[in-house]
Amino acid sequence: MKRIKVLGEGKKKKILVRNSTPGKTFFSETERDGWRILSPYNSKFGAAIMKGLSENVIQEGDKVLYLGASHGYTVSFVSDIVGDKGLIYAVEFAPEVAKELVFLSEQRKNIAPILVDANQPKNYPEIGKVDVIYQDLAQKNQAEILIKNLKFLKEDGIVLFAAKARSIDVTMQPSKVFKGLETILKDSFSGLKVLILDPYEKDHAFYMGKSKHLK
Amino acid sequence: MEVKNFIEKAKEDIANAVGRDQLLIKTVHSVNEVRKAANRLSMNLKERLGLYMPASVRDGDLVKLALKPKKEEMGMEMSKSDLESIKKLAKILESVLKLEEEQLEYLSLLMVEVAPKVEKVAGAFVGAQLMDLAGGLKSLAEMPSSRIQVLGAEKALFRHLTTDAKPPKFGVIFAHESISKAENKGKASRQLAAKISIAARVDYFSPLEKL
Repeated sequence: MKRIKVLGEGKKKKILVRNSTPGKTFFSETERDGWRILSPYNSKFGAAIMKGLSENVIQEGDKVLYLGASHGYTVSFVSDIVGDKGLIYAVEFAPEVAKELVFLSEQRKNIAPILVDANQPKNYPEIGKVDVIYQDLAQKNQAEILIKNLKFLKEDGIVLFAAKARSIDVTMQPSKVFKGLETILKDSFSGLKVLILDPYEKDHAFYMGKSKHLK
Repeated sequence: MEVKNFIEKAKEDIANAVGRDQLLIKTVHSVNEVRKAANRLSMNLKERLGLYMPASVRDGDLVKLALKPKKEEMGMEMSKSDLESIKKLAKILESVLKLEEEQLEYLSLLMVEVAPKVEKVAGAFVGAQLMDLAGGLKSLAEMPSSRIQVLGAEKALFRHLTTDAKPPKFGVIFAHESISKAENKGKASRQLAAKISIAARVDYFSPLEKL
């Protein structure tokens, strides 16, 4: 059973995700016939799919380590995609937004909220290895945090990384920031793909790659 | 660990993560909102009552004037119900002004509780605004004083960083009287910021110490 589909082309393109709690939405998103529409303006994952990322990167049954879960908008869609056999470790450090995340987790069975600083993986509870690491953090050392968290990734696992140029260096041209990030990430990832999320998210890029696993 | 346990743990962590300084920050927001409302209402009332008594509204107590209106030169004719409606607005303004005062008083008490030394050095309102901009007592205590000096002047600061504009000398601490009255404002602001940062560190790291 398909859990995510992309309809239409160009401007009419729409991303639909099957709602595992039909009739119930969490972020006033539109629901049609049991499918929720993933807005590319609210989710960098959605924006990346609009810009050419395959919608099947995250699959049913996957375990996902999600860094920077925030209110849980994207998390709720990923939760629908991985289904009951999958699991999301949703890491968020800010208590204010984590409240919403907890309310969401109570409605789903596959979201494990963790209130911890993604910069300090040593403070995580026991989580084992995951298939996907998804990161969306507005931190200066985003790339460093991602690399620190790689130890939780399975050998053939993939990394999805939404980078915000403005939090790395406001004074630098975003394109230069992205170039710099690419050189850092190339050392740790193979098959690195870069998508610029304009016009859905300004000054954001989306990286996808497989871990090289040096150790 | 099961999902259920993760949720329980997260709930506990959230409850513990929110300190009294967060209440203080939300209170600062309330004070700012109430202030804004009071300003707008009084400007609006001044315009409206000015149609009837153009001379007195220029520098009189608006609420008092509205409650006992008297037609003046250049003023237009107004019926009883016209004035009644203005009176209602004035009463609301009166209560908003009172609310502002009460909220400010409460904010001072909170400030003394959360960060007594910062309150002493910076004053309740400036100190509370700094806490808001920093995001909490912990972040304020961890900030270098140069950053505290320009909190609230982000626009000018980033203009300085991106173009060759001059750096700002002060942010919200300008409201402190030792700066707004000082001759050399840059110097005064730098010194005050240094003292505030020490005070914040004492408040956060050793709250029982005497300053």
